Amino acid sequence: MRIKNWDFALLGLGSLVLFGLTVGRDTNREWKKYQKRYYQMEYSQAMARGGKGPMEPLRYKINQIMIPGTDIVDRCTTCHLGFDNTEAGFEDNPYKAHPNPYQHPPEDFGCPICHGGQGLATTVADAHGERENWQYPILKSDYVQASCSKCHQDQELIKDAPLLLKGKELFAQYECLGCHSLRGEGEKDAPDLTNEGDKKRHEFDFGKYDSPKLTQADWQFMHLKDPQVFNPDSEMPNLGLSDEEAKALTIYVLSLTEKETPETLIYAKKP
Amino acid sequence: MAKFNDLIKGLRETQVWRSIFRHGYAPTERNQSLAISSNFFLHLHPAKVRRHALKFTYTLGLGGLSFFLFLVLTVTGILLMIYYVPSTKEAYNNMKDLEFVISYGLLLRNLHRWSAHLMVLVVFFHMCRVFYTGGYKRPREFNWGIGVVLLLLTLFLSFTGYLLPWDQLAFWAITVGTNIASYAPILGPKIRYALLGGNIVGQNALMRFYVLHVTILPVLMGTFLAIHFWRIRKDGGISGPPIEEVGAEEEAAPAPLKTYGLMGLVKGPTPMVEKEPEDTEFTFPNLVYKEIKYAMLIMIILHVFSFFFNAPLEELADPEHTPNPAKAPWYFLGLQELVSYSAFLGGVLAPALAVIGIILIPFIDRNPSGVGVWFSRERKLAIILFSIFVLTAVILTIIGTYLRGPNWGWYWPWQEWPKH
Ligand code: HEC
Ligand code: HEC
Ligand code: HEC
Ligand code: HEC
Ligand code: HEM
Repeated sequence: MRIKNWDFALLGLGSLVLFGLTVGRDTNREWKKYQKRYYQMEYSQAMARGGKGPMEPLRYKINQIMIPGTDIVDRCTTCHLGFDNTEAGFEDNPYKAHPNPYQHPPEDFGCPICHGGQGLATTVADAHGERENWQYPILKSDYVQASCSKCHQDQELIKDAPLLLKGKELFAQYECLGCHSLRGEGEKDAPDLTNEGDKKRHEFDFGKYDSPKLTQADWQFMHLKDPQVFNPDSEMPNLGLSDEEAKALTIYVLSLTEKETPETLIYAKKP
Repeated sequence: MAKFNDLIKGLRETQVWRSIFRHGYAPTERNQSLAISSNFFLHLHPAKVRRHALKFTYTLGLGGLSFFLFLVLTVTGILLMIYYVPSTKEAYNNMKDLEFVISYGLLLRNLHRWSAHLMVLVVFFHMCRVFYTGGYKRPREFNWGIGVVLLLLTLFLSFTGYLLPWDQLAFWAITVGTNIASYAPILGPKIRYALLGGNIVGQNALMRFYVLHVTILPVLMGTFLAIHFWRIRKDGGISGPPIEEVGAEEEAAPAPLKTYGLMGLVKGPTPMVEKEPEDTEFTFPNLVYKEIKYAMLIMIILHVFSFFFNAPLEELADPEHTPNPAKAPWYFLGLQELVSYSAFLGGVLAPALAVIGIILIPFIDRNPSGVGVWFSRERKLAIILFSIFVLTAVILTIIGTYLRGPNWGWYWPWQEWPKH
């Protein structure tokens, strides 16, 4: 065949290739990789336990929790598929079964209400809040305790959020309110801490340590250990805190918020 | 193969086919004319155009490109409307949904955003092209005026679209932009109030901007585009060097001219009838193929760009946290820079004078020579004056975009902005 219009042919081919690339990228979204891996792990476990038959065809789907009575939507379980699968005993994230999940059924609470992060997102970096446009990176391990006081009174947390309560004690013991103020109490020689936990990542000056990996929790911890670490002129005294104390205080400081929690989710008020 | 050809041939004979395509395919001159005149989409074109007008280096295809971008924006915009809810509670989440769950949602958004930015640039360049080739001179003064309206509509469309994602960038850019509007004496604050449906950027403002962006402005744009294109034909096709054989100017012919037998009798200058054929070529395929190829190329470039670069989306709009500096959309940063010297002068007087001045150009510069060539020597003064204006606008915009930091202080690109 003789091609008369090479330029049309090339432009057409170019468009076609681009179209193909676009379709390819859109169908291979990051979260699918995690779902595939999860179903494969499930399948090989079933085989190891004596199951038979071929693997079911994969049905990719975005798992989405819409918390009743609020406009919170979260899709963390799109990747964190094993959060309620205590039987399997998967050991790696995002497949680990959640410690203690059933006190807070995920369909009522979702995940970001305790962990922060970006519920709507379906990529790791976005969901875990490592991007500029999401200022609340996820809280990990013990630091999650910073969220409990949104909905609980102290006495309900003695067993499950010990560090938070310890932080509160230390806060009084070290007389932080000798300089700071909190909900109208204390002195005005230092920044008010009433909504310290609401501050956005970019409101903190990380000085020479600036890196997208560092979160508010890192800032607070490092600042409590050495108040001059970011700003050598800081007038906050170095209290010589141990790591454990600094961690507890960090959790407490992060828990200071003025944001409203949806009424229906608060412990005593939950219908 | 032979059978296939017979089939196609038979198909072309059917009544259905003939009712749709009213001309044959063979490349005869008659068919080439009919391809244009009997096609709704192509009949905007004359059946024949001057060879001069076909030269890419004359128009750089900028007018056509502006129109193509408008079409891309319309298509992507309509698709985006399917997902977008103009509510302060949902708009931002819709952006996230587009990015994270909707098939090709992010691509749509990128295409829409980048085309919008590009359109502002291209329409501006088109205006410069028309100026530097003297395309606004008699009889095209009016169409130049229509063009200015199109430029303003383009800017305003882009500006109203800017608010819709409801992120910090959107919120503060619109806050700053509408503040500029309020510096006008007496009317200014009222305009701002009417635009925002209140004194702050909130739900009412979002709704109004949405309605402006998806209905009022596009309809106006479509109307003025139609007038613009119609005028181009009525003004005798696009400009070019005067035609020697005829001697006098085109509009010297006062009597109705017979045009290609397609439109009947039309008043005024029409596609060169007496002057062909040496000078003209058939629009189909010469111009039409060029246009299609150009459109395909631009589409590929836009697609590649949108594939790799995401439209910006900052945090959710937060009226409590003013970014420092808060900047208007880039095409208004020249204005914002001027406003930083004097609100009234920069925000009102300068832009008003600029718009009025541009509209009046064809009536001030009445020197009829130099049409149809770039940078004609016969128009030195006009070209120098216009270039000074363009340069000033560009420099102010660059300063506002790249060299202004917190509190509108001067920062070189290599200087770091202080935190807080
Ligand atoms: C695209 C898949 C994906 C989504 C969506 C996702 N995660 Fe993860 N998550 C991972 C992976 C992979 C890991 C393990 C590796 C890592 O820590 O980055 C992980 C780890 C975690 C951890 C443990 C981190 C640690 O180091 O202890 C937490 C907590 C977590 N995710 C919370 C969330 C929350 C909350 C959301 C929703 C806002 C979420 N994730 C959404 C993939 C995802
Ligand atoms: C009621 C608060 C709460 C909710 C809701 C919640 N978590 Fe957690 N999560 C915690 C706490 C507390 C820990 C820390 C446990 C520890 O490390 O001691 C934790 C730990 C984790 C870890 C780390 C587990 C490990 O050992 O590495 C992951 C991953 C995680 N959560 C994911 C999720 C996901 C996904 C959801 C939503 C389905 C969710 N969480 C909902 C409180 C919560
Ligand atoms: C968004 C509000 C909210 C947050 C945040 C939250 N809880 Fe709860 N929690 C509840 C509600 C409501 C219940 C009652 C659940 C039910 O019965 O459905 C509950 C139940 C519990 C229970 C069981 C108590 C009982 O009486 O059965 C424990 C223990 C608990 N939460 C600990 C925690 C810890 C530890 C954290 C922080 C990691 C936390 N909660 C964070 C709302 C919350
Ligand atoms: C002698 C007065 C003083 C005492 C006591 C003190 N601080 Fe501070 N603190 C400051 C000053 C001054 C700053 C501001 C400079 C800086 O950020 O380092 C500050 C900053 C902070 C910040 C950062 C606030 C912000 O967002 O900018 C936190 C959090 C904080 N202090 C927590 C504490 C805690 C917890 C204690 C008790 C263990 C404490 N401070 C005791 C003086 C004090
Ligand atoms: C949405 C924006 C616009 C579109 C889609 C558009 C489209 C076009 C097209 C397709 C042409 C044919 C010639 C060419 O391609 O260059 C043209 C010519 C013309 N345009 Fe525009 N235009 C726009 C804005 C403007 C502006 C801002 C001006 C000037 C202020 C302007 C003034 C003119 C004039 C005077 C002509 C005739 C030029 C000549 O004959 O050489 N247009 N326009």
